[in-house]
Amino acid sequence: MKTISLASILCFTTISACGEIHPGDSLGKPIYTLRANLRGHAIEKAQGEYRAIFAWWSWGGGDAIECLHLHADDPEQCRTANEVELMLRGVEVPVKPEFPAAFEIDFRSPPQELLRFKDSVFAMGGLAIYDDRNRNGQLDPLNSGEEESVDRLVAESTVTAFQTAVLYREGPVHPVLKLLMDDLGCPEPPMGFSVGGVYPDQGCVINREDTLLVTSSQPWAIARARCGGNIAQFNFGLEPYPPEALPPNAVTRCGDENDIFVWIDNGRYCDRFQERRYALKNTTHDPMTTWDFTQMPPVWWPCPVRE
Amino acid sequence: MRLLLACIVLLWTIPASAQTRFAILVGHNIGDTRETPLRWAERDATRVLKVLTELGNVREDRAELLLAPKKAELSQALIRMQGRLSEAKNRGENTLLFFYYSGHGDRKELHLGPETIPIALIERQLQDIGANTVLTIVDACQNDRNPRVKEKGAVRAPAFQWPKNETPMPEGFVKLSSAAAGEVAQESDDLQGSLFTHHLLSGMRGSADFDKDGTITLSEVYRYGYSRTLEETHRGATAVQHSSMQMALSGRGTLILSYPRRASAALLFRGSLRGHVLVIDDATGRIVAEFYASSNEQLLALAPGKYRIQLRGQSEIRSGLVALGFGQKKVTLEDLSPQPLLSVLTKGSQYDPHPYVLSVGAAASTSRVSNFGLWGGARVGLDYRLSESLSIGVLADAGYSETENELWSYRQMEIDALIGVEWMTSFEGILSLSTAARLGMIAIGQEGLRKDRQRLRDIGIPEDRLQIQNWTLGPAFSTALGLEYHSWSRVSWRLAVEPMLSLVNTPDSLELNLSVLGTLSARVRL
Repeated sequence: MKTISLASILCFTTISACGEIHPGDSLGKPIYTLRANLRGHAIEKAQGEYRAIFAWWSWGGGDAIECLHLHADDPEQCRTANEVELMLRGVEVPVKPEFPAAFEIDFRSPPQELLRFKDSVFAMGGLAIYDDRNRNGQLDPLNSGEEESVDRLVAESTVTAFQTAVLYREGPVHPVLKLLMDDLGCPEPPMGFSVGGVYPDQGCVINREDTLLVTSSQPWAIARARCGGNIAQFNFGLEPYPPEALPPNAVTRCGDENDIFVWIDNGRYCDRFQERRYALKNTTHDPMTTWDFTQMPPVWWPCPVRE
Repeated sequence: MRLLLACIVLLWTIPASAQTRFAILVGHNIGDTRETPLRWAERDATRVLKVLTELGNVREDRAELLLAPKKAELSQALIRMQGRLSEAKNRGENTLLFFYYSGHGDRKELHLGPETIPIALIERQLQDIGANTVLTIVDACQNDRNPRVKEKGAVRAPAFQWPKNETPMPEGFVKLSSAAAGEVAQESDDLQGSLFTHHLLSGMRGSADFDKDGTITLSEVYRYGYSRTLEETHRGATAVQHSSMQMALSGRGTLILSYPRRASAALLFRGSLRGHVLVIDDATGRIVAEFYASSNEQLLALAPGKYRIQLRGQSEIRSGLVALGFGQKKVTLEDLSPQPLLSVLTKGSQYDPHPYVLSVGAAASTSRVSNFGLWGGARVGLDYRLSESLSIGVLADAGYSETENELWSYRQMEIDALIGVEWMTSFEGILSLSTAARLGMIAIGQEGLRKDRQRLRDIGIPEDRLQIQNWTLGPAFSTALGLEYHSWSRVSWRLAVEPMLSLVNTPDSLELNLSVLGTLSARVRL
């Protein structure tokens, strides 16, 4: 009160406006400020200008989500679910001048793209850095037939590779979040905003004050979404059986569970996101869909076979 | 000489109760296109009617007031009056007709706006109208040479003949003119009326009661009006003015115009009052009577109300406020308190015992903060009148407004406090136009609440992100344009539009806002 009185006197003497009020359209102070850091990744000089885009992911549908909602008490039942749709709702964010080394993003409202189940609310988001080569201020979508985009995505805090991601939670832990946390060995995330990350030396850490790391040199989720009209489809399920042969333009990547990821390179950038997963052994609880080829892998199988 | 003759002829006083009195009163502010409109002619006619009905034994239903009439309307009124007089005559009643005209005119004609009517024609119609006695009072004007003193140009009409019958009361034709031949008649803003009519009415209320018998005769009124008008115009006007009277009366007695002693309310001045006395209607600020107080008592018939009395003696000036109810109210020297000489010197006869004006009203404004829309609130102000047209004052407005956007609900209180100067121009004494310029400060207190605060509170968002309480102070400058209606007593109503420039501090910038304030205020002079 004393401060106000002194300030008032000062105002009158200087005849200048003081104090501070908000215009009617003011959105107020941010409810959360995310610190992000591009770490361990070299970025060459931009042809256009580097910008950042933050995106909340929305689970629009797919068998996995439906199954997890159906078996919320036992998410393990949903191991066979094979498809998740993530819809990208990108928001261009201002970045500090020191970009791309470190910058902050202010959130003034909870994410609009939320996965709701009863009282549980869950959202996950990530950030990408791209070279806005045509300087139009937005990350341009990529048509499936194009060789490459005008804009070049250079780094991303991916979801599936899960280096770091922004989490948002209301109410009890959502089944999807629970499955994710269990798989990664993560603690229960706090209410509201937090940053979760899996680090080689610390394992999974979730902290409200943590910094989002943008480290991936192989863009994944956001890059994928650019090929699908802002919808990225992830197939977590297994194809029923490994094929007898692969075409010569197939590109493979070995998994950790006697499985292999394959995509056919037809010369288009977006081909890499049409990935299929084959496994020698299915671990589902359903005896009708169980198989085991570990004793007789196909001749083309390039990956190590574990018992 | 004329005065002497009048005094000789009108020797006796006779009761007028046996006389049925009628009146036609005409007031017209507008003359022809070359003549400056008058301000008080129509109000003069109204005041004369009031005095006649109060004190002159004229019943209201026997009087006809014509304000700004057309020529045809005046002719119709005369025809109607002729019929009424004929009926009265058939009943055997002795009749008297007052005919009063206040407005523009010249040597030959009265000017009813763009129309004219010959004075000779009017006089002929009045002679033939059928009244036993006709008293015409013509207070006519011709041009305007001075914005504060307006000249009226009536001249004495030629003499005329009247049947000379010996009757118990004087009968015939009397004409009182506000100015003699070749002179101009004048009206005064200070008096809010013409000089002549002012003194006529003052005299009829009792100022002219030289013999202290409680009745005012024609000769007393003429003597008083003649001398007071001449004295006043001689003292301060652009030209002297001699009122004139022509009479063609026969019969015995004298013509009584008013009966102050019969008034339901009257001030009785007595005691050691010495000097020039002004009696001012406190409700209107108009001088209703003036006289020179001497050792004798002075009875002044007035309507019940409050009156400011100002006494200018030889060594001091005293004033006081007197409430007059029904009956007689005595006023002595002790009722009047001495006034500071400075205020008298600076204000003179316009000394204003109610210089303060309190304003209270409703206000609505566009907000001084962007995107806040309109607010509604209240105003209070206090002005000090330096003169009729200039005042200084302080005022404050307070208003409450709300707004919301997609995330926040805001509400705020805006208060401004301003000091400034105001100019006022009056029209007809009823309306006035004012302009003002003011400087001051605005203070704005604001509270904001997140619409989803409960949800955010549940997820641990700090409270200072969910609600805010802000304030600011900034300079403001406003102008104003107001229209004021003076309704009654000391109360008036003002409608004003006031653009305001103000400076407020927001998180992003220093905002210069132009807001528009509208107010409707009741104003009371204190």
